[in-house]
Amino acid sequence: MGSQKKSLSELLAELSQRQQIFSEKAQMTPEKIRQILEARARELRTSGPQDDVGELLEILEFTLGQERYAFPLRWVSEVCRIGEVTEIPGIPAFVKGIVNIRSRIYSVVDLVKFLSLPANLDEDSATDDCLLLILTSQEMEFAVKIDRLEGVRLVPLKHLQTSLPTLSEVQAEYFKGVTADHLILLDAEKLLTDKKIVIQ
Amino acid sequence: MKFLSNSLLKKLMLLFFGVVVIPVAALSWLSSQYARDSLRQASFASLEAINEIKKQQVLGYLESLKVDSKLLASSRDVKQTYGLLRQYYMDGGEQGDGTFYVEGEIYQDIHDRIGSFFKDYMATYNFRDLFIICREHGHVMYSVRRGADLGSNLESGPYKESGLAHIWAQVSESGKFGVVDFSDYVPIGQAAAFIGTPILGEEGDVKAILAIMLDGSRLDRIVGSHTGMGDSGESYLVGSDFLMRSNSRFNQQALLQQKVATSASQKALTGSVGVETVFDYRGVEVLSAYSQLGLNEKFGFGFEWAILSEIDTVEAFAPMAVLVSNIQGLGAVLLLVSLFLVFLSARSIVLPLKLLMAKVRLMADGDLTVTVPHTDRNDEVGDLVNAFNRMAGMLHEQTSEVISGAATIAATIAELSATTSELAASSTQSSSSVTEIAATVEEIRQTSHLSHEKAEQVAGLAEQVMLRAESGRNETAKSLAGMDQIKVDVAAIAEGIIHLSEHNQNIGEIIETVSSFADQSNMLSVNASIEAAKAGEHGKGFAVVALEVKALADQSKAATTQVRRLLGDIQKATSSAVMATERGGKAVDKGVDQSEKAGIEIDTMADMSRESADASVQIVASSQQQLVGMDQVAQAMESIKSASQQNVEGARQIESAIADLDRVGQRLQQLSAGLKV
Repeated sequence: MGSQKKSLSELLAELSQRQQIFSEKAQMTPEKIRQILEARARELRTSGPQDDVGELLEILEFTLGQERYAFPLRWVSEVCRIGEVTEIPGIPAFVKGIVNIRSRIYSVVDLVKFLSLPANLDEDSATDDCLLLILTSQEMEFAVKIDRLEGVRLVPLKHLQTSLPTLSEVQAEYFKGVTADHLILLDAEKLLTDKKIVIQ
Repeated sequence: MKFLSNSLLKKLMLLFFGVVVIPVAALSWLSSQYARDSLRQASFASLEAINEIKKQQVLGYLESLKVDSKLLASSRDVKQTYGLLRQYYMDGGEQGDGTFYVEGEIYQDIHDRIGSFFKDYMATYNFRDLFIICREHGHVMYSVRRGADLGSNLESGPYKESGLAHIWAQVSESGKFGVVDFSDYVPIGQAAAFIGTPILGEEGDVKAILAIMLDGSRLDRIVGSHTGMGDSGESYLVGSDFLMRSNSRFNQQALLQQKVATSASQKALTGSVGVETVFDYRGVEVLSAYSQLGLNEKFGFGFEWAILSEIDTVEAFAPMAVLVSNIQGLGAVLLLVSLFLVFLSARSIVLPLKLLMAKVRLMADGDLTVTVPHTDRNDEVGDLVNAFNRMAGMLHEQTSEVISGAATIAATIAELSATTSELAASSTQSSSSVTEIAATVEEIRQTSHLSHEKAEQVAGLAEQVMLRAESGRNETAKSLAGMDQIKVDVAAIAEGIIHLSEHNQNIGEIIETVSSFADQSNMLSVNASIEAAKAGEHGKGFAVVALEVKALADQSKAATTQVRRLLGDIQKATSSAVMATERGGKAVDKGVDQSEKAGIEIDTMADMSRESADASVQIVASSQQQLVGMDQVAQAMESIKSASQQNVEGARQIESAIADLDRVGQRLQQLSAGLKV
């Protein structure tokens, strides 16, 4: 108290003032909320890319370990959160187990192990409550475990850098490109058609 | 008395004479009295002793008579004699007229045969006669001397009233030993006493009586011996008829003749024992010791005797007359010698006194040069003469000094006179000084009035200070109470803050939920985008909505992050508020402590201010007293002033008194001129 420059009475006055403001804010009318939302939508609409950037690719961005990755949205059928992955014996290490989503069984692929990506520091926490992407093609569908979901965004294809000399053979096989903001785009189609993943 | 009053010599002689004569006379009278008493007591003591001894001798004699007669009566000789006489009686010894026939040859023969035994017995015991009398008839059957009574019948004969007849009757009746007192016995023509003892037969019955006749001779020998009793001492026996039972030293025929009716004999016969001075049967004054023999008590005799021992008073007190005459002779000699000595000593006192008197008369006339020749006497007279010499010398010396002193006094008085004048002047001066002092004292008095007023003001102020201190004490108590309230409030604040912290936590949880909602919204928007992509061209609008949902989710996420940060800030603020509250609580405790200390200080201050109020009250009182004292000093100064004026007056009076003294001194000088020194 003593260290404050303001006197107690001043503090009390300020407190009551704030309380008043707070109570005013708390009583927000629905139309006011709507106004705010509309203003926000307008802002969003105007902030989108106006200039012609060529062909745009819709991707789903996510985080795995320390890095951000993305899949083209075309191959993702669903994102969901699953309580537990059932582990199965006698399968390759990159398969974490199987899950049941709406009466369909999916195998869960751990891309970190499959692509030898930099490992997450806290790997075990993923077992409790994990976020899954489900990749789907005509022939194949499986779940990929991700750490955090970032969202859907549009990426201009011409800005995509398609080759990196530092990648290994395996990595290069599934690597599609890197955006300007260091987002790594993986090739979902190749993963879906890859024979290595198919183990049955 | 006039011839006594003018001569000391005569007075002294008379005094000394009286001093010698009176003790001599008193001593001689006292010693004669004492001697008389001693002599009387000594004589009485010896008489008592003699009387007692003779009494025992008489009693012893009677006792031996009793024993001997009994022995005799029971002896075989007596029994045989009685047997012979009885036989003679049975053979016709009784005559017709009742007497015993004692004339015939037969009786003569019997008497001769008995004869010698009783004669020897009678001679040995010095009896007058011895009889055997028949109990039954009263016949005098046997008599040693064969007097006229032999053969007579005691019952009917001429001697039936005699002592012998009485003893026969007494013993016959009682059957025991008996005695009959002296009485005149006709057959022998003189007084005789009889002793009777029964002669017993075989069956113990009384057959006859053995009678012994006694005259007074034997008792006379016992009683009448007057060895150690001087020329007039004697002892004698008296019967209950007051007739003598023994012969007297002065009367050889006193037995049953001489009557002794003195008070001593009367007392003795009533059983008393004692000594007394009486006039005896001769009409002479004697010292008499008397006693009863106690015959009746001791032997059961039917009569009583007294024994008396006496000596003439004249003989008993003879040594006293010698003493008195000796004392008188010695007294006369003492008187003469003392008269001579008295004359000498009185003269030795009176002569020096006369000499002194003449000298004193000279001194009275004013001649102080007289002296008396020195004397070597060591007694009071010598001391007086020498003291007179010293006195005369002292007087001479002192008077000389007085005279010279008188001269000195005269000179001194002259000086005094001058001094007194100076004194008068200086007392006038001091009087004026005193007046000035009185003025100064008045000023001081005014000042002390002022200081007293100030002291009263101070006292009032002290009172107010005390009241203030009291209210300060009350305020301190109130502030203490306020501090307590603050303590409670601070505690409430702390509680409130903790409450706030809990709410914070709740908010944090809610924010967590909101965050997860945002995540889920994001996921939903992704799925919606996917679905929109699947729908192709028709899903374009839906994709926009999905994008918007995503943006909303991102904003929510950002908002939650912001809220979380804010919550962290609030948590920090709360912690610091809690700590501040804690500090506040401690500060309040400290404040309470300080307030208590301040309260104590204020209490002390209140006490001190009360003390100072008291002290100021005392100061007021003492300044009041000082004021009063100053008034008194002022009054005293007034008194001193008037006293100093009186001093001036007094100095003048002293001056006149000195003048009087001067006259007295001159008079003294005149007087000393008349003395010869």
